[in-house]
Amino acid sequence: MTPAARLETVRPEDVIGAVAAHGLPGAPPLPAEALPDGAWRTLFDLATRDRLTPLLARAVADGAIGATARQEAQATAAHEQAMRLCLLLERSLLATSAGFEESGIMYRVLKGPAVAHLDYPDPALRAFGDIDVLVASSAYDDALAQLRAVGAERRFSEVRPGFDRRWGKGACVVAADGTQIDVHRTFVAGPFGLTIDLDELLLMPEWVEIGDELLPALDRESRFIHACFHAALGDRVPRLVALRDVAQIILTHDLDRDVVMARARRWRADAVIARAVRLAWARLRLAEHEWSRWASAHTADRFQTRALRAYTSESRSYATQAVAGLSAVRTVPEKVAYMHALLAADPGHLATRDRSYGRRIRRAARAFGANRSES
Amino acid sequence: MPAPVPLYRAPSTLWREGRFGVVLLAPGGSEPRTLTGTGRDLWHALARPVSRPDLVAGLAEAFGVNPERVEADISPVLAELQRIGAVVPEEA
Repeated sequence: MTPAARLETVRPEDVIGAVAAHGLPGAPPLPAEALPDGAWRTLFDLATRDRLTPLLARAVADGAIGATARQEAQATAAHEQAMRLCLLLERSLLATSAGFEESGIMYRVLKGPAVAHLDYPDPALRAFGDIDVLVASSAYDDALAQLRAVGAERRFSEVRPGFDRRWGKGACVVAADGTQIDVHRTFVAGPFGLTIDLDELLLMPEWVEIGDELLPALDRESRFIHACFHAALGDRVPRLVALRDVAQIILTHDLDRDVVMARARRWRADAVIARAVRLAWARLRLAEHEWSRWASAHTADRFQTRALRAYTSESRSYATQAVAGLSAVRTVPEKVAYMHALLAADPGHLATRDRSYGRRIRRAARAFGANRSES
Repeated sequence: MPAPVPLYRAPSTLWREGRFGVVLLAPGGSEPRTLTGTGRDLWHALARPVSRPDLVAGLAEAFGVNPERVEADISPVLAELQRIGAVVPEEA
């Protein structure tokens, strides 16, 4: 057995990675003694930021990390708060699902609620802060209309009418009760969102039981791929909860790598999977595994190498991802339509983003230049 | 005298458990509620339909206390859970 980390060598920024890994096979040890108050405060803030309060509370309850009575009480209270929010979000999800089903809109539950119930041994270990659903491109406008009809409002206007349905990631809406609902057409904006076979994504669902309802989610392989997208592309500094999802599915389920990678290669996203696994294993400091060995040895093709930069470089922005998306649009007429839609934005969208067409064109040129200079 | 109708936790109730107890959101509830102490044990005992006398007897045996004490402890909690729809009669 690996000796528990000694207190004087411990940094909260390292401990939080071990907290994120708590309960997984091959997870690193946690400090056996309670952290000094200052270090605990930092650790607690990191756990809150990365939605890891359930795992922190479980680590304390399991005796895996030392804690004073006050620290334990704080972790427990934070866990309760996180779970209260999850229940309210699930209720909102049930209402959203009922509305979609009544309107004949096919959908899939994504991320938090699906992963919590289907991939974690206890849904109380996985916190989430919003709802994500995936709908077919053909049903995208209907889905937004249905949500508007029950009082939801879109947070950001569309670049140009029809852009989202054709090329976009989706839209963020805020329901009447304040719940944030992300309506996805694909996993991400930009090139990797444009190469996914969306019809394949919506094939056989896996059913998630929430309350006494069965809601359709993605199958495990697609759920894993989405977790990798979220971990590898979602934020410049990947959220630990996203990295935990990647490791959780690999280490606690019988994931067929051949099936996953065949699907990822069809979607030109095998480099995304490799990046996510490398990040998860490094940040959570997990013991070497056949998946981590595969990820370390993986090399990306030219398209994926260039596409990854739109999400991971210093100049990462929605603009650079949108411009980089041009490389994934297949035909010349489509490319022309795509760039026209980005540049000739709807006046309402323009007013909130660039304020003038001149500014917008200059911003696009900078994004295009950034995209080329990093290739 | 008719047999007491078994009670159980409503399948539509959303809930999670941790060191804090059991937090639940009933179909008719506006806010989540948290059960602690005997409330948590009561929630688990209602996983399947159980008559009130059997519920009380089971908890009394589990905790080694007399049934009258258990009845006094769980009555207000059970009444509230039924009021918000988190616990329902089996025939519902």
